Amino acid sequence: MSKKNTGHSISVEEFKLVNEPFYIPIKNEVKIFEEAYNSKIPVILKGPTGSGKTRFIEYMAWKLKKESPSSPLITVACHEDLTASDLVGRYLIEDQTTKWIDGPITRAARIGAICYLDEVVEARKDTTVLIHPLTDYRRLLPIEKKGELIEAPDGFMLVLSYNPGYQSITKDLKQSTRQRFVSIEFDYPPEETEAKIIAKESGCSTKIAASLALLAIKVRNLREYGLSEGVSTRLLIYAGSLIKKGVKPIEACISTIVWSLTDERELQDSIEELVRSIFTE
Amino acid sequence: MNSFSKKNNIENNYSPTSEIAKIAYQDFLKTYNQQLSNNEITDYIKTCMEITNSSLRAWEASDSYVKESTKLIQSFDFETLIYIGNTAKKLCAFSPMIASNYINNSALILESIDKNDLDRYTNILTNTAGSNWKDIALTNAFISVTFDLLKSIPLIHIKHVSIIAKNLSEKSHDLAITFLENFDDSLNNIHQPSRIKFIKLVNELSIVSWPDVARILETLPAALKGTSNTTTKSFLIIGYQILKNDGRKAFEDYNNAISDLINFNNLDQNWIAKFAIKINKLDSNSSVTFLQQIFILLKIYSKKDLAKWLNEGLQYMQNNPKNFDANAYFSLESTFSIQSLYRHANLELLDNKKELLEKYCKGLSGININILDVKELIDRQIGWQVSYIAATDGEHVYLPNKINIFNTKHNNFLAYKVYATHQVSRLEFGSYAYKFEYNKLLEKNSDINLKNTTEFSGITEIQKLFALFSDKKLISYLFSVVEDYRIDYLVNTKYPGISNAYNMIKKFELSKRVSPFNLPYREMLIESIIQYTLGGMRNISEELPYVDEYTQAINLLNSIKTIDGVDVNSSVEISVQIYTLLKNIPNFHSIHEIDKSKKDVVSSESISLLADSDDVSSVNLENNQETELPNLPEHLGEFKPDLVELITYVKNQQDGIESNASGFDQMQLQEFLKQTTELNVSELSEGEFSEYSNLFTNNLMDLSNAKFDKQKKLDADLENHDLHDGPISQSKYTNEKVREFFYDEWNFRSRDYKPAWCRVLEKELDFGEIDYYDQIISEHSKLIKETKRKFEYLKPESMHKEKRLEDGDEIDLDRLVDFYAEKLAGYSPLADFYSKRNKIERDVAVALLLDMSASTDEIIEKDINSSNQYNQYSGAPGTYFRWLASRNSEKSFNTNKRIIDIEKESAIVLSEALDSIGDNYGLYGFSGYGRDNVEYFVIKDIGEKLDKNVHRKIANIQPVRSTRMGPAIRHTIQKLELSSSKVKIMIMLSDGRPQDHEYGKDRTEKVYAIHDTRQALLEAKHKGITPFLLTVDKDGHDYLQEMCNDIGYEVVSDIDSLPERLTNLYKKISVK
Repeated sequence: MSKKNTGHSISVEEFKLVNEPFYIPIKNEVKIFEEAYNSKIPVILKGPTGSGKTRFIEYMAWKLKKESPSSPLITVACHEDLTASDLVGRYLIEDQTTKWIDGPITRAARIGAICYLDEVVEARKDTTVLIHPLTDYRRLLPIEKKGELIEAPDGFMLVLSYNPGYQSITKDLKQSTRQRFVSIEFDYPPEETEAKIIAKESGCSTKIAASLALLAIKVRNLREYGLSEGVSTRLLIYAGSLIKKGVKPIEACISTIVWSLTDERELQDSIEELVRSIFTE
Repeated sequence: MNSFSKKNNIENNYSPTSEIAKIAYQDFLKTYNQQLSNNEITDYIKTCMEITNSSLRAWEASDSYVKESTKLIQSFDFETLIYIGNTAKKLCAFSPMIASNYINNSALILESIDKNDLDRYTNILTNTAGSNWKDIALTNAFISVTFDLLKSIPLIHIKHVSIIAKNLSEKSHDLAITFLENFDDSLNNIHQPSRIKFIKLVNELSIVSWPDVARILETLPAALKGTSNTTTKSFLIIGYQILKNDGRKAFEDYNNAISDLINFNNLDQNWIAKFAIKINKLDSNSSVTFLQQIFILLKIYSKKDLAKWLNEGLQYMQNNPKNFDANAYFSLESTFSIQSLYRHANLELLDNKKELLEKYCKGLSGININILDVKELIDRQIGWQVSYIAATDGEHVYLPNKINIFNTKHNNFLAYKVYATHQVSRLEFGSYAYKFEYNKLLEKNSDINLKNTTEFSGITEIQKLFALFSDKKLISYLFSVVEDYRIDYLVNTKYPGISNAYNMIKKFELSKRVSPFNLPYREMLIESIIQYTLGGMRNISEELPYVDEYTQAINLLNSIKTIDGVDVNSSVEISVQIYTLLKNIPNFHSIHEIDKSKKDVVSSESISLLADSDDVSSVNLENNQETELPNLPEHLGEFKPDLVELITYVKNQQDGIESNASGFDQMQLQEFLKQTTELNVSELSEGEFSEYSNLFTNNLMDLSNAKFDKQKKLDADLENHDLHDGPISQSKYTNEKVREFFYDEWNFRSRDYKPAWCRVLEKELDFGEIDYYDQIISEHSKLIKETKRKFEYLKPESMHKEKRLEDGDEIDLDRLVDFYAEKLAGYSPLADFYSKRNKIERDVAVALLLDMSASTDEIIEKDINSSNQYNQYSGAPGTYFRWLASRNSEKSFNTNKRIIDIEKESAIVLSEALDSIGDNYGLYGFSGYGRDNVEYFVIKDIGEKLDKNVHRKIANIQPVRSTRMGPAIRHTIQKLELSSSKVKIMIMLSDGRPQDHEYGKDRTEKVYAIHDTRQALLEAKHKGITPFLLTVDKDGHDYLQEMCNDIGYEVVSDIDSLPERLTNLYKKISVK
């Protein structure tokens, strides 16, 4: 990850992770991912939003591809209008001719990067057509429009993420897709680990971080009241960051957690009372 | 003739009739011959004669006159005597009886009135008197009570009394007489200056509502008795205005309402009167509603808070009299009013914070907590008897229904929060998780003298522990204290944010406690410990008796803070140690003067005895009192670990969680009751105990079976509920069979909702005949087939290709070629050669709401004249005959069908059709009686499968009672809102206008119900639901236009065609 954000643009291939992304392993996910990578098995990351899936994949990309000359990771945030051609590439008209532009998955297959399709169930069903040949023993990416077949190099790996919590049944992953992957489940980290993460990421005091982690557990108890996701570690880090900058803890939590989580007045009040029980004025 | 001879002459012309009168007459003449002039004597005799001659039996009157003459002239004067005689003469014209009575009472009455008032008195009498027997009796009665009345009111007011009596006698003679006889008693209960107001009111009453006079004369003065004069006066003015403006019914309500006055002190009464009169001046009817409500409100809210609310209402009344419905405001039948009251009040209500607290508790503990009014816990009769303010039984947290201990709403809410936090923390920090381990206990407390036993009695873990101690009450009490201290400590460490609130409440609790120093030693120590836990008793002088023990106990308590992983076992250990400490302290009263040496002796003696027997109660020493354990601080709530353990155990058994646990039998439960320290059963006699134990067992079993007689309670509630009570109390019953829901109702007068006004009881419809559904299917097979086919057409419309887009999934080749061609030709064409395939998924949810009112029981009258059949046909002309044929064939089946039958058939046809295209649909029926009992029958829920059970439920659709449409629509909205479908439709099928008990001002008012229904339909619309009304009421057009406005409706004039119309209609609405 390049730390300086200067506003200049680079091509995906040039992108490099310079520093080690901060990641605390919770269970055996690092080992499993490493072995999957070595065995050329694609991986699905499951888990609620803000539970560290993206950070994990960055960390793994950094860890596995320290030596790689090109970009280790190509991330595609999927949305419901994302089609197969968006992933593979398409012909564009330039002057009087057409020009082929590679899509992200093609680029990844060419340079042997990890291709990370974030929230893949959001994408259109036809994307699975691409995923299947890439994920089994063939490791091939057919580009129909060009009549080309790309054989994925060893460094290529397909990683999908999805959040089983809030997608409707219609958007669930098909069994034929699921069963081509090794799955790693993510959940929010245990209280102490989460406190450490909050402290490290936001720079707030360990006491505040511990309180935020405690709050997280309390709020996650409310999942069934329409908070399908509970509060994410990411939001807690935001809260920690604001507190670090001098915002009063209660105010910071209300802005980052209470108001972000729900629009329902009563639920907001309940969460606010939890905040007020944990933090002093 | 000279005057003397004239006198003699006249004397001879007159003689009284009775012997007594004769003597009296002679006496009078003899006595006054000298004193009176001749002329006067002549006048007197003349008067006597005139009376005698004035009517047939007038001699009676003149006799009376003669008899009274001496008395009258002695007490008054000759003039008066003659005056009375003349009046008597006039009265004789009505009846000599009246005249006699008048004369006989004159002396008495004249004592109370001025001579100059005689004319007035005479006038009253002549106005009252009449010649029929009733009038005579009335006048006589009046004359008889006048003397007494004059003691209560001046003569000018007595006139009114006579008028009232006259008014009443026109209706009922007996009533008028009773009135006269009792009126003085009533007056005596009213302050002197207010009596005229009272008379005025009774006068009005005699006109407006004469049959009530006797009753009101009893109840009204009784209600006003004890109020101050100004209050009485105000209430009388109010009553008069109400009677005058609003009539009999309103006055009745007023009279009932103020019967509550006696329960309040003068200050409160004045306060009520002050506001009542203000409201009354602006609108007398609203003062009735005010009085009906205020007595209840005063029990909940402070006067200060209520005054703010009332003043706001008054202000609106003054500023905006036309648009402000004061009645709704003061009866709290308006959301605006309720909000206003809540805004002004300092107190916090459980109803308002219940859901917030439930979520808060769930967040804190992760356990699903139901919050209930603490009263319910007592109602359950499973051991909680005393009205504590908070408690938990493991899955419910019980809190008081209002808190008003602090002077801001926020602080009162914080009190709720602290109560709830403490109860939930008991669950979180494992207060109920004690496991009895004898050896461990022994090992850690080797110095205590535990009962040495290897057999542990006791059903629960905690009982096994307590059984080891001789004073079970004390150990149980100490365990509560220590455990609460532990919870307090843990809560405040883990949730520092709540510390301030905790401290605020502890301070409040501390302020309520008594000084420990006047208590006997042991109690003093216990009280001191309690006060220490509340933050008090920090500076203890060295001279405090047993200061060492106190310090030791406090140190023991505080060791909680240093124990690593402190848990309920730590509390047990600490309480055991404090128990040992306290056991060594005698319970003398510290003020008993016992000299030092004696004290020492006694102490050592008692201690030695203690060591022997470990039972202080057996130390039968003079002055040693039985320990009375001080009350525990209220905010901690009631801690009953023993009961909770039992309940949890029984529950787990029922749920099969602890499969190895053998069930409790009656014997064991009795044993439990005998052992436990948490119930006061020790004072019960054998018989009482067995009765109690049976009740307890049954309630406990019911509770664990998760039914707790909810249905029974619900039914009882239904019967008892007074419909005038304002918003229905929000108690949720979670019965499998009946579920309760509350909905507001729209009051078009106040343009506001009446909050939680209607209770919808959702029930599953019972099963009906098995064959009915199939019969209808075969009867209507043709129609169903046709409809299904029509519906099939709805499907292909689902794929839709959008062309000419500047961006899309596909390239439209033709357009692309055009584009290039144009571009090469030098134009600048739009790059709109993309296309997109949009999949429109049919995503419809529909709720069919059937009117199950009693009127649907009517048999449909056949329209014999079918000449206008063509008019009813709306299809293409070419298919008219086919339509006619099919219709006629249907008709032949429809002999003697009721409206409800057609509704059922329609439901079946539509269900079949909907099932074929896979739309989500629900079938519901509604009826009920009164706002408290809107029955809502679920025939098929949205998403439920159309199976045999549904078939049988459809068969059982029957006419029930009334039609309160509003709440039924609102409940259907709620059902539809749960569905995630994009298109939501509600079709209501009815046979007439909405009507129900009290669905409007009175029986005849229709407009209220229409407005509420209309509002409910609008609510549906605002929530993205398409409402549609279908009625078979031929007169439907009248009100539907008003009710539906821009909402779709249709009047089906030919009921037989309903199934077909319904399906056609559905097609129309759902595709739009």
